[in-house]
Parts: sequence; structure tokens; C-alpha cells
Amino acid sequence: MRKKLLLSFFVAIFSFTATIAQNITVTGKVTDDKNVPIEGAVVTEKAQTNNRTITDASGTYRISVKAGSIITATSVGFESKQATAQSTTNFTLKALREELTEVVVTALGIKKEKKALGYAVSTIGKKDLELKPEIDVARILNGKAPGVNILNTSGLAGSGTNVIIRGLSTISGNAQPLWVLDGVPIDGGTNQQTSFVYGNNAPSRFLDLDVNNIESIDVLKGLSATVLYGEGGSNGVILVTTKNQSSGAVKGKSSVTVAQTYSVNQFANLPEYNTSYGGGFDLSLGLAFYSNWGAKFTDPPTEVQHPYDRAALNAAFPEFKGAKYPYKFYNSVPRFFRDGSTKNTSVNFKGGSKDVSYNVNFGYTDDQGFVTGNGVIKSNIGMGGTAKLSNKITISGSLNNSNTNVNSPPTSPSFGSGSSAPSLYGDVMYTPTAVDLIGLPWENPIDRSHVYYRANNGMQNPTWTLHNAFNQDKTSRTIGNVRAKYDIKKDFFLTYTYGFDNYTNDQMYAQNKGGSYYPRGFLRTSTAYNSTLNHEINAAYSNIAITKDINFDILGGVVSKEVLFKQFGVKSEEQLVFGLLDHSNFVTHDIVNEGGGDMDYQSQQQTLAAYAQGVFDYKKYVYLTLSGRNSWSSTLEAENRSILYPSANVSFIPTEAFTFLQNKKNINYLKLSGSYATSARFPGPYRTRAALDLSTRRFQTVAGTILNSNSISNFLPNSALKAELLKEAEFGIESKLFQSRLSLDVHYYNRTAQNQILTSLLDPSTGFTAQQINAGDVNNKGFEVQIAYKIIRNKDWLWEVTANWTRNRSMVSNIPTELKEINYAGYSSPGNYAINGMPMGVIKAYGFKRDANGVRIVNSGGDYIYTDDLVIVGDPNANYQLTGISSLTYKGFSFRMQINYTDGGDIYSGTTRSLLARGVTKDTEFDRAAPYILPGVKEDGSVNNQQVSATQAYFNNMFGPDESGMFDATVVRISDMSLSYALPEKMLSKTPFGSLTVSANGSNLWYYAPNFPKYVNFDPEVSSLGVSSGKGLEFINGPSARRMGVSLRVTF
Amino acid sequence: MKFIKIILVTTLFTTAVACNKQLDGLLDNPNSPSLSTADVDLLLNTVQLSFSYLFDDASNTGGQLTRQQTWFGPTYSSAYNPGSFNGLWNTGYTSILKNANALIPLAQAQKRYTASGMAKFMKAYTITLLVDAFGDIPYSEAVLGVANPNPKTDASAKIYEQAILLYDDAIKDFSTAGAAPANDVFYGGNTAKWITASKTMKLKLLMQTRKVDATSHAKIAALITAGDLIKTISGDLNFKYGTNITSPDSRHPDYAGNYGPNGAGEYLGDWFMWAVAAEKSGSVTAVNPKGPTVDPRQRYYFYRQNTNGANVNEVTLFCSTNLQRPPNYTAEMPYCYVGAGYWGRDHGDNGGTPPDGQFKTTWGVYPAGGEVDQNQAAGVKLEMGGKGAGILPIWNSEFTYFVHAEAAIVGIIPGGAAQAKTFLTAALKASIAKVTGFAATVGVSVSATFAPTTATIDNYVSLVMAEYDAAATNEDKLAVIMKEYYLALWGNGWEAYNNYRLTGYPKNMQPTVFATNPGLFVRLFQYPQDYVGRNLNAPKQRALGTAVSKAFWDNNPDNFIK
Repeated sequence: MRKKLLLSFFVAIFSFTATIAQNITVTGKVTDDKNVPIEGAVVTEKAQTNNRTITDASGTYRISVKAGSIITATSVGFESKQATAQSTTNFTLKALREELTEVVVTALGIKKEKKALGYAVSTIGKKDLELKPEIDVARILNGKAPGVNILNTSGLAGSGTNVIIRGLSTISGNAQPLWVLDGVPIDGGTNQQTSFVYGNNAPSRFLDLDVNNIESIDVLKGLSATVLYGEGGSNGVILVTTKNQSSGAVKGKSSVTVAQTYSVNQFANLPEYNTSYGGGFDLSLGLAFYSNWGAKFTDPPTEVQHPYDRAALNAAFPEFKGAKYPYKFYNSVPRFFRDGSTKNTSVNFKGGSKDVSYNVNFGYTDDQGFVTGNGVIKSNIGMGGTAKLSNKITISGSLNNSNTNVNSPPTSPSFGSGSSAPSLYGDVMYTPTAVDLIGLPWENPIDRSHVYYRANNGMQNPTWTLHNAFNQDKTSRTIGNVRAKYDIKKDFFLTYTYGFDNYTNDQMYAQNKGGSYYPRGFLRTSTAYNSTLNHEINAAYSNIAITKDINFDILGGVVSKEVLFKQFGVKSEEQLVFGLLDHSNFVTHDIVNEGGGDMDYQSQQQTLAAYAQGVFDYKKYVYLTLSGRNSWSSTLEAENRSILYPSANVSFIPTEAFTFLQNKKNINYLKLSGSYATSARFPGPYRTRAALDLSTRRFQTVAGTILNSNSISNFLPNSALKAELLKEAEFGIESKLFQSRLSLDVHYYNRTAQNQILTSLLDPSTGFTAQQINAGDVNNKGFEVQIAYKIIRNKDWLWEVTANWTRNRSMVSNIPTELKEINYAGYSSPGNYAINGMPMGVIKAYGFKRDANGVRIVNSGGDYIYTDDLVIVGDPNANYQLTGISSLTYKGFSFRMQINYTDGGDIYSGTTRSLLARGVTKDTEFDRAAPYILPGVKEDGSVNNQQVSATQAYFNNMFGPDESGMFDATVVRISDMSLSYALPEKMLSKTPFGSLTVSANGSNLWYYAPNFPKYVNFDPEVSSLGVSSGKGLEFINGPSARRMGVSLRVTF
Repeated sequence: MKFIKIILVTTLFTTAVACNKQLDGLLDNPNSPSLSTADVDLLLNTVQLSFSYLFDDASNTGGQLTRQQTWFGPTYSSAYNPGSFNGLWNTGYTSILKNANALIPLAQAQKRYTASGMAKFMKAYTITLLVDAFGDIPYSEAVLGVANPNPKTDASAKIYEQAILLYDDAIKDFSTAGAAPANDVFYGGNTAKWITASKTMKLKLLMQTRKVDATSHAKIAALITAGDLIKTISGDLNFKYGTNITSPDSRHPDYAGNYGPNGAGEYLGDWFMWAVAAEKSGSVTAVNPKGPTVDPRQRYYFYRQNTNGANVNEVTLFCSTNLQRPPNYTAEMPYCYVGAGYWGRDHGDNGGTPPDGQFKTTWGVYPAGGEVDQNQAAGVKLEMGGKGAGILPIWNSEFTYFVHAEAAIVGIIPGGAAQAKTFLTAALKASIAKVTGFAATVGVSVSATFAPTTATIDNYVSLVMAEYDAAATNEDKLAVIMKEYYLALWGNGWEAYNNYRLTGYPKNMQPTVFATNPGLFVRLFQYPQDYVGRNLNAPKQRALGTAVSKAFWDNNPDNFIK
């Protein structure tokens, strides 16, 4: 090895000395085809690539080269040219019209020239997907495509992710986009077993995808783009192309790619705790309190009775009998967390011969979260290939198998004094500062029950929860497709595609006995089987010349989609032997979950559709596309089953059409587009016919008689239910300017979902509580802007800055007056509401009662008064979102940084409210002995002058009406940063490697939410409701995650 | 070429049409039976169980306002929000009325008259309870589903009339022979007892309206004269809980929430414990189990986890060292801690909850099915005492006697103070017999040291009689009767609340502890959020504390009670 190095060194030296021997000086000018000088073009001696120069502003250059050598001129955006060196050598470079040949994937996986589209498509290439520390594909999309909003449900590994495209346009329906893998629709939902109240948020099923096996993602946002996908596409479509599917393009050379990433997974930030005061109330020392309004710390610390020095624990902890405990600041919350790690290995084989190509991919991911007991283990195997059987038939297919296992302690919502069910974070964040969360034993050595500082053990020790409460989600999934294509003649083919997505999902939710929740133990398991089958036949005939200038393409097809879901589950209580989570180790068994829902459940639905699309183009600069789809759904009664929805879009490229716009230096490409499209939404199954509710084992009398029951369902069926219609108009401008340095894309959309399938909540005095009806409109309109500017581009450097700006405004209207308003997510206080004339999802809650001047009213006890009714306390919708991406490459180095900024939007933060009410953060580390007067007026209208203690001011009022939890959620974040280096091919030529890339990556590196109390360090981009339409509601969700790591990819 | 196109189009079209037909098969929900399979017995179970939820819910709120249970307050305007009443409304309409309405015609058609009678009975009780709680409510337009999504209210008095008719109807059904229901958790299908209960409930309603409806007096007298009323323990209208802990948890809710490893979750009202354990003697009388002034029910009502003040300190009971007795508390008024381990909360104390689950006093054997206080001084745990096999004392024989005494002293029935005294004695004896006898029915034995004897019972009765005799006017005697009625109503906060609003007794209830001016007492609940938020015809929401809304039978002045 050393010899080789030495040798190459000498070779380099000699070749260098050789070149300087016979030089000539070459001068010349580099211009474009309109004779405009090109500045910054690179002129290189071909045989000696490190000998090069750059043109000046007038396009001229000077270089000294070996006589008779070949020199090349290159410039970004132009075709390169070469010539034999003469003393004067001029180059005329032809502009590359990449924008005209750019191809994107559209509906049904059809590749189209981007210029022909009358709507917006965002493409995220593998550069932005690979080697990331994040294992959830949706989270990587965050900020990368304008109009796409990603919201994490938690910082835990494997937690679900909300994806909303172009605003929330459904009040009661599913708002998540359709995921299409290699051309086949898959399930991207969650199998949430119970309400978020029970803390078992299920992962999103797109977690099953292996990020490193994705070739590209195309996001189809508008209805015009998705019309061929039908009603499934009404929330947008995320088209995922795996390397297995794209292998068709690979011919010849076989290669193996190995990618390995390693990253550390940590909490992003935690509150800064107050170091002066400990547990108690009104400055009186009370170690056992939830609240941190107790006595001031002293030096040396006051010694108090040890929290475990109590009769009930004397046998278990004799060492603490009579023991003292220093009352001081322990700063134990940060130590509750650990550094998790993420390891991902991905191996890809690809190759092929003349008519056959294949791709095989293995992936293994081990993602350990920042709390004990939280992690994801995922393995993926995928393969795909294409074979051309004869001149007419091509068969292709892909198969992706994944096994995903997500473990997490449950996180149910907490309001600052315990939670609704076992919860990892419920009592962690506001741990009183004098309680040593980590130093105190958490388990009773005798019976392994939990122990904690509260004298009655009424607060479940969070560490015990980590070790004894489980939420597990295991999925084994196979997604595949087979496609047979028959070329009837040139440009006319027939395709049949069979696609399937089958998975089995095992969920477990359990807690060993000995906790304060489920003291006798709890186990719920369920197994769900989901199958999505898709048959599709279509035919396409393209390049039909109608006249010399007009071409016509036509496509039509029929599709059948069947979704079958079946699950069975058992809930058991009363554990016999500690630790064993097996139903036979429990005394009682039931088939309803904690929320009373039947776990033995099945549903089946089928949708049939026929569609057609025709594209006319005039001289390749005007394109008109007309599409239509008719769908029939099994979820509606026969007379309402069918819906037809058409769409039309047009695209016009002035830079091609008008000669005066051609060959301009500063206007390189301009496209105008417009579209009008419709889509539909069908209701879920079984909403049209009445059924009887059945409940067994509802009650057991003292004599042992079991009472079972029938009841008329509270859900009122509606046999007249119809599909809902969505309409959208979209306009766009796409341009490339200043020698294609600047690209500016602007899209405007205006979408209305009319006569929504609305879950209308009924006054119970009608005998029913809900019914699905067709009513209410939601309008979303907004802009999606993408500006990219190449600040530097030359041979070695490329620095491009991209800004994505998204602004969406929503408005609810036409909700029938008898419904008043719709509380569609969260609690009634606080909750998300749809109200006429208001943006979607405004938050209503009990507020502070105010006088006519808006001043808060204080009662005779000195505290604020609640409003009598729920009032609007916030709007969770952001004013706008801005993402800035800087991408800098120098030779093989590239540095990329993404900053996300969300302006405005309100959030109810249970964490912030509780931390302030409990007095644990530095925000409340002020002189607590002074009396406080809450600003406001008394009930008689006079200025409030009633003094209260600091404890009362904060405890009673931050824990007062829910309005106290409302904050502005503006946040700026360094969402990711990466530095990577690809070794030059030259250096690898003597190695077995085809390429080698190393990189360092970080995500969610820093954030700042200016409108929150300073020391809470709260990350407002979370939702405690799981994957749902809810937004802006947080019920002690824990910190978000920060990941930093390194990765390596080599190709053989 | 054209040929292929035609074939293609035809194929697509026929496929689509053929498949459309098969979609019909997916419309029926495979997870639920169809409506036609509804079963009388199974519907009746829903109604009975829901009835217990309704009563328990109402009883808790009533008990909180009347100081039996704890009420966090701190003022009447901030104590409740409309969302707190959704449960009552939902249970009443969707669980009881809707299913009862479905059951009645079905049972009639199948000649299952006991079931239809029970449904009518519970329906009548439900609508009057809702009237007592909310005032005017939807009735004639209610429970019609899609036919009327915005039911209007009916006048309260009209609904009371409808309820009387429903009870009469129920009596007719009970008097008609038919197969007994599979499960009658109240009377085991005994129609005679149901008839007696129906008449007693009519008496209760008539007594409730005695101040606003003069015509009620004769009807009351007639019912009392006829005498077919709940007068024996065996006739008590009680919902009986079981002991099963999980799947299904069938224990008394006040047991389930307090007898667990986390200690007692709920506070009892300091004032109520004081009124039982200390008021008559002037000091806490727990020390001597058979002292002359001891209420024989005391150790059955309350279970003390501590029998002394050893664990009373600034952490477990903050007010014991840190707060000043409120200025509006007289010297006799119990404050913060009753004594001898009797440990609850003052009225309107909204302070944080200290770690006192293993110290504070909790529900005893009656009616929650807990433990009898025999100075065990042991912390609560699972499966203690009666294991939760408690009852909801919806109507007991002693209540009937108290109503007799009330009717006599206000002159609705003849006999005056002397007659009332006889009824009061019967009421007290019935109450003590019910409470002390209850322990044995749930398998809890009481040692001779603590079991009251005839002598101790007589002592207590004579103590009350002395008070009664000492009361100067009939109104003062009514106060004595209503106070004893109130003390007997442990576990039935609903009647305690009704009586308090109607008569204003007991008079000396504990004022709110933090707010010197708590606002006006809650004489009607706020309308539920689910009602005002979803029904176009819902009346304007009432503000609590700042204005008084009263039940139609409550013609008392605005500042009548606190």
C-alpha cells in the first residue's frame, strides 16, 4: 500500500514536470448562441483537468496549455464544447434547456414532461431522502415541498406523523393524503385502537417504508393532479418510487450499494428549572406536594423526613426508616432521559442484461428513542424487476416486505395533575425540584409495585412506568405489484396492474400490577389484518397526430379497490404473577377496550371506478388536459353511490411560443398553467343503516348474575348520505430567469369541499348524539411559492438557496344553523371547532370572563372568573410557513442546511400551563413572599385590589380556565443540516468502490419559540391527538427529538 | 383498430356495471345485529343500569352542594361549567328515555308488562330528576331522532304531570299479569313492590310541589291514607351493586374510587361528618362507641383511616397549621379538621390535593359497601369491608316516614306536631335499622363494642325528640325533621338537595371557606354544554352565582339558602 502511494506520488510529479515543458498560451471568448458573453465559464485542458481557468465578464479567458491539446469550455446551463487548442479559440455554447426536458411522475406513475402539466408537483429526490438520521419518511418531507404540512405527534421513536396537504379541507373525514408505493395505493393510516385519551398513539403505517430504498417522492397536491386516483387522492397523493420499481431504467452494469447511518437521538430541549424553591404551597415546605410553591432552599439544605420513611414502606425500605432527606435542588428531570441511537443499514443490489433488470434491497433499522423502553426495529426486504418477454409484452413487478416493531411507554394526555391513563410524561415535566426523580428507588423490592414520593403513593413513579407500562405495535407487511404491459402497436399499449398491500398488525398495551393506574395489572392485545387489493386495467394511445401541429394522447381505465379490515382483541385485568404479560396470567378477560369499544371488528369496502384522460398539445407549447372519473362506493346506498367528477387543465409555455421571448439571456423559461378540477370523498362504511348496540358482561350482581344489554345506537344512521364534492381552481407560473440562476414558481389554489360528510353532533335530547350528514363547506386557498437562486455556480462551487413559502387561509361556511358549530377534535374545552365564518379548527375553551373593555374580571376570592360558555380562544392555523434551504457544494463536498419558520398560529400547551401553575421553572423564580394582585376588575367594575399569594395567583389561575394554556406558536427551527463528501472517482478508480460518500447529519438541531415563557423551552410543533385532524392541542407531550449522526455509502 | 377500441370500451362499461351490483352486499354492518333483534330483557338491562348512573351522578352533585360530599368551589359562579352536566343529560335522554321508548311497545306486544312498567317508572323518575336539575327541558319533542333535531322545552310543571301519568300507567302494567323480566335488579320482578314504589314516587313528586300547587295536598293525604307506600326495608327502592372488580367493575362507585391502593380519592364534607359525629354533643363523640349522644349510624357512614390527629400536619392538611379560620365561620362551625380522625374538606376549598389518601375519612359500609369503623385505623385497600356491594338508596322506608312527618307538621295531613313526632320517631328508627342492619347484608360483622344496642338507639332517638319538643314553633319542628331527614340521606345527595331548596333546611350549613361572598347558591344546574351547544331551541344559558334560577316548585326568596 505504501509502495503504491509512493509510486503514484512520483507519477504525479513527473507528469507535472512533463506538462510545463511545451506550453502555448490560448486566449478566446466564450459566448452563448446569441453571442452574449458567458461569465464564469470554465475552460480546461482535457488531458490535464487541474489546468483550467474561468472567463471574465466579457467572456474572455487566457490559458496556457500543451500545444495541440484538446480544451473544453463548460458552463452551468450550457452544453459543453471542446476544441483543439489554437492561439485564439472561441467557443459558442448552446444553452441547455433542461427545464423543457424535465420529466416528473404524475398520477398512475405516468412520466410526463413537466411543461405539459397544468398543476403543481413537488419532487423530492433521493439526495434529500438518503442518509438521514430520521426513519420516518414523512418527517423528512417537512419543509421540502411548499403546501405540505408535517406535524409530529411526539418526539418518541415510531410515533405517528400528521401530513396535511393544502390545508385541512374536511371537518369529520380523514385528512391524510393517499400513499402510493410503486404505483399501487397502500394504507398510510394508523390502527388507533382507542381514543388518544388512553395514551396509545399508534404509528403511521408509512413508517414501514425504508427511507434508504426510496428513489424519489413526488407530491401531487391539487385535485387536478390527483383526479385519476379518485376520492383517495382528494387530500393529495404522495407517490413513492422505490429503487425496486425504478430498476427498469438500469441496464448493464451491476452494482451493490451499502449505506450505513448512525445517529444519536436525544431530547431537543427541556425546561429550565427553578433552583431556589422546592415542593409545597405558599412558601411552606411540603416535599410530598405536586406543586413547587414551597419553602426556599437553604445552604446547608433543610433535612426533612425521607419520603420513603412511612409505615407502608418500612418493611420494604428499612434503610429509610427515620432517614432524613435533604430538601434541595436535584435537577433530576434531565437525567430521566437517555441518549438513544439510530442505526440503519441498507444494501442494494442492482443489475440486469439487455431485456431484464432487477433490484434487490435489504434494510435494517434500529432506532432507540431518548427514553427507556422506546424504540423501533424495522427490517425491510424488497425486490423488483422488469423483463421484456417479447417485442410486445413487458412484465414488471416489485415486492416489499417489512417488519416493524415499535415499542413505547404509553403517553396519555395529562393536565398537570396526573393523566387520564398511564402516561410516560404525565408527571415528569413538573417534578418538584426537590424530588430526586432518579435517585429515589422506584420499585418496592418486596412486591415490585411502584414507589414514589407522594405519601399515599398516588402518583405513579415515572421510572416505574418506563419499566412496566408497554405500548407495542408490531407489523408484518407485504406490498407488491405485478404489471403486464402489452404493446399493441407503437404508442398504443394496454396495461394490467395488480397491486396488494397486506399487513398484520399486533398491538399490545399493558401494565404490570403495582402501579397507581391499573393497580391489579392490565393487558390488551389485538391483532388486525388489513388487506388492500387493487386491480387496474388501462390503455393508452399517444402521439395521435390530429393535424400537423396538434397531437393527442388518450388514456382510459377501470379500477377496483377493495379494503378489508379485520381485528380481534382481548383485554385482561388482574395479573396473577408479576411481570408475565400473557392473558392466561390474568383473571378477567373481555373483548371491549378501555373506551368501551368492541375489539372484534371487521369492515369491508369496495370502490369501482372508470377514468379517462386526454391530452392535446399544440406545437408542444400549449397543452390541454381533460380528465374525468366516475366512482362507485360500497359505503353508500345504491341511489347515491355513483359520482362523476371531471377536471381540466391547461399549460402554456410563452418562451416556446413567442419568438421574441426566445433566446433571452434573462428569461430562460416561462410556463403559465391553470386548472379546474373536482374530486369526491366517500364516507366510511356502515353509516347508512341502523344497527343495535350489543354489550355483554355489563354488570355482575352480588349473586353473580351477569347482565348483558341491547341498546339503540347513539349514532343515527342516514340512508340519504351522499358523496362529498371538492372543487379546486389552480393557477401557476413557473420560470427560470437570469441564465437559469433564478427559478421562481408560484402556485395559487382555491379549493372548496362542499356538502361535507359531516359528523354532526346532536343534542342528546334527540335521543342520539351523532349522525353523518351532508352539510358545511370548507374553503382553503393559498399560495405556494418556491424561489431558488444559484448564488455561485462554477466548476467547483455551487451554492443554491431555496425558499419555500406556504400560506393557507381556510374558512368554514354553510354549516346548518341547527348544528351551530362542530367540535371535531380534542375535548370540548379545549377542542378544535368548525364554525361558520371562522378558519378551520379554531380552538374553543372556557375563557377568562372579561368586562366590556376586555379586562378580566376577578371574583371575591381574588381569582379570575371563567366565562359561562365556551369561547374562541385561538386559531391554530399559522399565518405562513417559510423554509429556507441553503445548499453548497464544492467539488465532492456538499453542505445543506434547512431552516423552517412558522409564523403565528395558536396552541393550547398543557405543558406550559402546568409548569407555570406548579411553579417549577425559572419563570416563576421571583420573590414569592410578596403579595400579588391579578390585573383586572372586580365584579362591581372597580379595579381589582385584592391581594393574593404568588401560589394562589399562579396555581388557581394558570390552572383556571383552559384559556390560560393558550400561546402563540411562532417558531424558528434549524430543521436539518448535513455535510457530506463524495470521494472523487479518480481516487476510487484503483479501489473496488464505484463511489463513496460520507456525511454528517443533524435534524431538529435548534428551535426558538419567542412567544412562550422563556424557560419552558417548549416546542410548539406537536400534537397530542395522534394522527388526526386536530391541531394546536398539547396535553404534556414530552420534548421533541434531536438527531445527529454520521453515515457512509459505498457502491461496488 | 376501431374494433379494438369498441371492445375495450364495452368491456370497461360492463365490468363497471356488473361490479356495482355486488356493492350492495357491503352496506350492512357485520359487527352489529339488526334493530329487529332487539330484546326486551336486554333493553331493560340498559335502562336499569343507566338509571343507576343517572341517579349516582345527580346524587353526587346534590351531595356536594349540600355539604355531604366535598365541593371545590370556591364560588358558586366558578364551581361548575356547562360541560360538567353533559353526563346527566346524555344518560337521561340517550340511554334511558330512548331505550325505554323502544322497550315499552315491544314489551307490550309480547305481554311483558312488568318490563314495560319498569321502563315507564324509570322514565318518569328520569324526567322529573332532569326537571329538578335543569328546569324546563325538552320532553314532548324529545327523543324523536332525525324527526326533530332541535326539540323545544316543555314547562316543568307539565312534565311533572306527565310523570304522574307515567307512574299511573306503570301501576296499570304492574297490575297486569305477564312474565317477569330476566333481571330486575330492584325488586326481582315483584310487581307488588313496584306498585308500592310507584305510589311512593308519586307522593314524593306531590310533596315537592306542595308550595306551588295547592291541589297536591289532597292527593298527598289520599296517598298517605291509602298507605300503600314504601314503609319496610324490603320495599326500599335500592340499586344493588356487586363485588366484581373488573370486567365488569360492578362495585359501588364511591367504593371503587376510594378503596384502592392509592388510598381514598374523594373527600367527604367536614360539615356533614361534624353534624353526625359532633354537633349533638358539642364535641367529636367517636371515643366512646356507646356514649349517650352518639349517632348509631356514625361508624357505618364513615370509615376513618386514622382515629386521631397524628397525621394531621401542614403537608397532609395545610389549613391545620397555615390558615386562619375564615371570618364568616362562627366559633361552633367546624373548620379544617373535625377531630378524632374525622378528616374531610370544608365547603368550597379548591386548594391542591395533598398526599392524604391514606389518612382522610372515607365512605363506610353504608351505602357504599365499604368498611365499618371499629377503630381499626387501617388504610383502605382493595376488597375491604363489603367489597363494594353497596346500594344507591333511591328511596328508603325512612324517607317515607320523614315525608309523613313533614306533611303532618305543615298541615297537609291531620295530627299536627304530635303526629309528626310519631312519624319522626318511626323515621329515625327505620333509618338506624336500615343503616346498622346493612352491614350484615354485605357480610361485614360488627363487634359488640361497636354495634349499637336498643339502648343506644333509644338514646339517640330521645335526644332528637328532646330537640323536637324544645323547638318552639311548627316551623322550628320542621327544621328538626328536615335536619334528621338530611342526616338519614347519606348516599342520596339528590333528595338532600331537593329538600334544601324546598325547605331551606338544614339551616346552619357551613359557609364557603375561601370566598366571603361566594355568589348565589346553585338552585338549578346550568344547562349542559351538549344541549346549549347543539340545540337551536335551547334557552339562553344561565349564569351561576350571579343570578338565581329556581325549580318551578321552588318559590322561595333569592337569598333563601347559601
